[in-house]
Amino acid sequence: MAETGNPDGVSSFDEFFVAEYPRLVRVAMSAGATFPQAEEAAQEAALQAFRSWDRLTNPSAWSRKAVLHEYYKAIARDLRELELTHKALRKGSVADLAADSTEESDEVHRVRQAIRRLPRAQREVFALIYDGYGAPEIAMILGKTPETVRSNLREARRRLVRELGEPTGGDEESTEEV
Amino acid sequence: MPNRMWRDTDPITQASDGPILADPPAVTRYLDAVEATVADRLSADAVQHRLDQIKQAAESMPRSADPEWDLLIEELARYGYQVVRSWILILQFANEHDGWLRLLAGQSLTARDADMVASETVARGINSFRSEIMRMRRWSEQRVPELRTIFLVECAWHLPTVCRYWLLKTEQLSSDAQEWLLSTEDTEARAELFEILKGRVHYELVRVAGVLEPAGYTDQEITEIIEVTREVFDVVGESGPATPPADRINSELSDGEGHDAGLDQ
Repeated sequence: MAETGNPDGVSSFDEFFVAEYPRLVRVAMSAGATFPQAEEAAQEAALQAFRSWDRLTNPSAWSRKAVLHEYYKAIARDLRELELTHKALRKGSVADLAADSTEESDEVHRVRQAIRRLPRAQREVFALIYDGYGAPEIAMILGKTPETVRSNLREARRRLVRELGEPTGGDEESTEEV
Repeated sequence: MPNRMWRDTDPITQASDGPILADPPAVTRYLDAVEATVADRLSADAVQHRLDQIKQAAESMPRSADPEWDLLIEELARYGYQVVRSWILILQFANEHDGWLRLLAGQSLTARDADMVASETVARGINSFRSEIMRMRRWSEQRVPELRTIFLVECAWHLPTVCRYWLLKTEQLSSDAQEWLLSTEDTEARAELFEILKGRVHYELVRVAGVLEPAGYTDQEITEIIEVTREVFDVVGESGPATPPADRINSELSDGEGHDAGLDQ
């Protein structure tokens, strides 16, 4: 693959991939994907990035948006494939479709389901925050305003607290600056 | 040990317009588990292996300019147009039903209108089908016969939306009808369409044939349409409005993997 001088400062796709692939998997998992689902979405996003490498000006941001899109697309596609082959899921929800590992704990399953029940906008912000991005960067990636990003995060955490319990340290609120 | 660096510095937690709650402990533990899983499963060797796989996959994927891909799309479009247009004729025939089909029946859908709705539906179906095919790099020869059904499922998902647009553009529509259409979710309209199509095709086969024959469909085509429509609407009807449409992003996907669908045009 030809090298590129994109603004990310990444000189080659290989370099980009080695640095970013695990992070893309984490982003998808933070949005509610299981590890296999996250890997599939990350691989699809990386494949698209590879094929479009010369045109990408900000591959890191682009690939994060792509991995989230791919995760949602995979859920819809898996549902249809199951129906086509008449294997299962006649009345289940999309969240039920994503068969989780039987080895995972009840708590992991419960948290994942709670994340999956978040509206998509909130899930995406939630996932990208734990990837280390700030409001302006997330706003740029998702095409929102920073205020909307903050609002999405606030509501996401409210919902999660309602479903899963009090935040760390009781009613502690974060004090770090944006 | 998992690397916590990626979320040790939560950069967004104090909004200028008010504080944001911290994560519940269960979420913190979940994120720890995510971190540990990724660190455990994605060693440097594993990442390199994935990189090699992706490059190999990219090189094995034909470009959209490949004749094989073009042929597939052309054949699917031609086939899909005939089937979708038959669905529209059936919809027109179902004029005694309530809901938005009553609205449709109240309008005179000309042959040109029917062509327009069918063409637009198929065009949308092709767009989403391209990304589906792109995703199915593991597609095997044994699954090729399913391509037509999968393509028509895509079309079925788009048909209610296209019909609704057409109705809203109809100047003869009453204000009540317009209000109903504007306030009705796609999913609701879709569910109603599925219900009527399934009912017509499943239980009134003779009448369906009666609708299609004057439109120029042969017996063989009618038989095939009935069969494939039953399969398509079994699929989409089961999940119905509870199933979100595929996430139709305008991604940078522009290439597809070509397959010989074996269409007998």
